[in-house]
Amino acid sequence: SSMRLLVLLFATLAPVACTLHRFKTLVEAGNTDCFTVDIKQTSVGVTASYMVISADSSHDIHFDLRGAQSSYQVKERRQRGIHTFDAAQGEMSLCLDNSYSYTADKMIAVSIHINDDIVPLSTVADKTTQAADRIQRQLKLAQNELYDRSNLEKKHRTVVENNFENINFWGIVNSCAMVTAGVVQVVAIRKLLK
Amino acid sequence: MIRGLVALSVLAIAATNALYFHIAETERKCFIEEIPDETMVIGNYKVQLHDPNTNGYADYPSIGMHVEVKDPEEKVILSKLYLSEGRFTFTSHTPGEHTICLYSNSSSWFAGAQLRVHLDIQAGEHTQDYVQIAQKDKLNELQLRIRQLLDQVDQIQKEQNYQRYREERFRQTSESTNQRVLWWSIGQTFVLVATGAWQMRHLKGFFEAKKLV
Repeated sequence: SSMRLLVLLFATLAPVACTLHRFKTLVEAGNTDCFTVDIKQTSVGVTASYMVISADSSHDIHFDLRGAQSSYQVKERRQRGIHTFDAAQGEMSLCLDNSYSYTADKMIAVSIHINDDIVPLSTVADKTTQAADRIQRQLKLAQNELYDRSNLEKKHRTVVENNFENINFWGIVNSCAMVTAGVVQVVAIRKLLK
Repeated sequence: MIRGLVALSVLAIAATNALYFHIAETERKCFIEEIPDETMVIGNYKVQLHDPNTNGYADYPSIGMHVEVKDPEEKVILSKLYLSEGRFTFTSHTPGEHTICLYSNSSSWFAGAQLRVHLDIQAGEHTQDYVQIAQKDKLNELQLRIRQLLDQVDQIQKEQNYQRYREERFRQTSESTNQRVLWWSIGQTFVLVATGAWQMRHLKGFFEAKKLV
């Protein structure tokens, strides 16, 4: 019975699943971070997306995606991107290249979604279970949507928080510059007329 | 049962399309998970060492993996040394960004060798032990399925609440920024006028002293 439950556990959590790798990582200036997925299926749909969520809204990252057996190749330098393609069996690698930057550390949110149904739906005959599968699929889509939205919100919030700090800094700099200019003018005029 | 579950999670790393990356021996790799509070996070990992003879990666049981987890306030909530293969778990008590850092404990034994780390991080309802729940509450298959769907909906609700809290913070920061801009504008105008007035008064006194006016 415990063995059956184990199989059920695998089937319960894994159906309409798809493997999903979602993470945020900091790519330091001058570094390149690479992540690889060893695709076990002969051909499977993959959706890879990335977004730069640093404080500076002008930051972009060099994105290098390579499917196994040269099935798909992307080299671009942008702030965010999404790629859907069919990956062949083998190693698929995704590189975030920040080597062209000297001081800017970049936080990147990456999401790799692989459509490998571990338990194919056709083996399930029960209507209720099929309904449960559909509901689960919809819920997963909702969760993915929430996650993407939260990444975007994080990006905007980081920019605004950065502005909040910058305003104080530049305010002080401006005030000092004005006072210094005023004092220098007076001193110069006095010297002129001495 | 426990052995079966661990075997299953290890199988999960081996059989499914797991993600891996390379790190140097003393290098630290960090991942950030933004999660609501009271959410359990489970990480399955496996470490392999680069074998120069075969130019591939092989298991090396004596490598340990140090896992350090920091909560949003930079406080360390998990800092443990694990084997070369296994899983780590933690539960968040405050909502926010948790940092999960991995680094190996071997130091210059293998003279700067490369390590391959397979990693799979799951958060939320993916971490529930449904086998245990089914046994404890004596649920049949359909009931277990419904329970799992309920947990998934709960998790979505938690995340939406957290999202609402963050957007509130975003709005507050935005409004504070607007306030600051207003005060600094008024302040700098005042500084400018005051500096000009001081200049005029000072120079008037100076010219009068010099008998130029």
